[in-house]
Amino acid sequence: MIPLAHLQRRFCAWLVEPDEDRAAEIAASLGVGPGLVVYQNNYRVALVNALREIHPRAAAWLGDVAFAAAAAQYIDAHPPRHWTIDAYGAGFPAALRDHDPVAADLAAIDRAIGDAFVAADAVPVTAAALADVDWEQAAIRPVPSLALVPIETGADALWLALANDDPVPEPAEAPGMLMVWRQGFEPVMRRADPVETLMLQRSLDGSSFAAICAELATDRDEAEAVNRAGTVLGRWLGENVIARIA
Amino acid sequence: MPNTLSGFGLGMRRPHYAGFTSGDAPVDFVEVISENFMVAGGRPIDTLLRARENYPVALHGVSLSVGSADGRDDDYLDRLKQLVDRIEPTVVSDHLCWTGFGGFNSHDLLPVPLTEDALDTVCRAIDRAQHHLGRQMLFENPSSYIAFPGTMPEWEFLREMVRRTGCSLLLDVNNIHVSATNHGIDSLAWLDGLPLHAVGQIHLAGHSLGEHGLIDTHDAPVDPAVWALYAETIRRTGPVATMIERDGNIPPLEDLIAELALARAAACLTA
Repeated sequence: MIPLAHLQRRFCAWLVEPDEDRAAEIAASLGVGPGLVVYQNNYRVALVNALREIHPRAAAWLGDVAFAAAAAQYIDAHPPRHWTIDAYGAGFPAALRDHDPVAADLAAIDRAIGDAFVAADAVPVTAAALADVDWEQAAIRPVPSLALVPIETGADALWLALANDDPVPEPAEAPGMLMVWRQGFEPVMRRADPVETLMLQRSLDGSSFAAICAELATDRDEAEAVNRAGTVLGRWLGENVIARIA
Repeated sequence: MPNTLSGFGLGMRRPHYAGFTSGDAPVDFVEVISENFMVAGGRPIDTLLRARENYPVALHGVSLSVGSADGRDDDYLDRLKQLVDRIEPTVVSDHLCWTGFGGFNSHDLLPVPLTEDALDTVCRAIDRAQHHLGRQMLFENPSSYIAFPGTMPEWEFLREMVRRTGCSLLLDVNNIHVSATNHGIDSLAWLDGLPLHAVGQIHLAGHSLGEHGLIDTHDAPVDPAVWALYAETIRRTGPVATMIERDGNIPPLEDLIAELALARAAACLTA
């Protein structure tokens, strides 16, 4: 009997080998019966199902046949490496981009919604928390579930239509940035305008609110910049976007 | 908190969450797939905590991979420990299998070649996991579709694994039936060889017939042959916590409760 590590290396090579002749060669070297193909089938079916569960609106948009083909291509090129199957397919939305930009955007939204669903819990701050803030030093800490998702199409409207079983609008180019986060246990999303996007990106990087205002003031009046940033901050407080200001 | 389960339970699956979080489901315990709850936060953890208020919980993992020649990374054990500390389950289990090697993860329960080399690897991994979690674990006999040439019988491997590590056995009666049928072995002879004194929990599930033999699909009711083997098993072991796993074609909760009543009846008849 060959050493365990050698056998497992050979078994893994066979499992991920899409070429049937090559797979048969490796299988023969393991010296086992035809039941071996059950494992290869299990492997591929589990990954296709995982990609479908993680990207349900992209799957609905593409249809069963096109989604299965895209998934199979991705699985052949990207064997899983993480212990949780939920982490599989991080590059799947990008892999769909050349084939179908709408599907790519839908998949990116699916994935962000799923990530927000299980992100760390946080109690959002309310307006009352602003009273004692040192605005020269303070930074805005978004809730852990918050993610920014760049999209190229109007997939956000399509995603909501698919999720609600509503008539699906015609896809169109509509580049923008989505913010995805969780309110209570429910993931939510909406488009962020360029000022919000900049404020969120800088906040996620740890920049202070004062530094963000200064950056905003480079292409507008300082008072207007502070006023604009304050308006955005007020909206975020109402939408449970902020975990801490300190 | 006792570290043994008793009575009759079900695998807690998403369509039935409400029955378990409300406490309405007439079961003695629930089992969940550990990895589904090894997440940072959100509704899954809340759901499990609410079910935990009503029932003892068994955490059943699929990714420990005790049979991997290169071991499991610490991240997995750390995350499992966090879940164990948070949920305080009655038992924690996984499978005699390997899931990957060299950074690759198949997300399937792959067959361990039942050699001395593999036994050393498996026992080292179980020792490490039990030490990391600070508790005894249970390990499940797998369904297998192939047998590597020149290896020992699975019951002999399991007997030695239990003896060396002090772990308990999660005896999947359907898996015995599936493996024994696929390898042309009498399932009662299989049962004869197992360390039945170490059985801490029993799984029942359905299977299906594939091109190359029986497949452990968990998508159908428990087969009559498996019920017969279960009756013989508990006749030999005495009362052991028993549950049904259903992962495909999931019926209404009431149907699974009715199926679980068959296990209760079998236990009564053999008492």
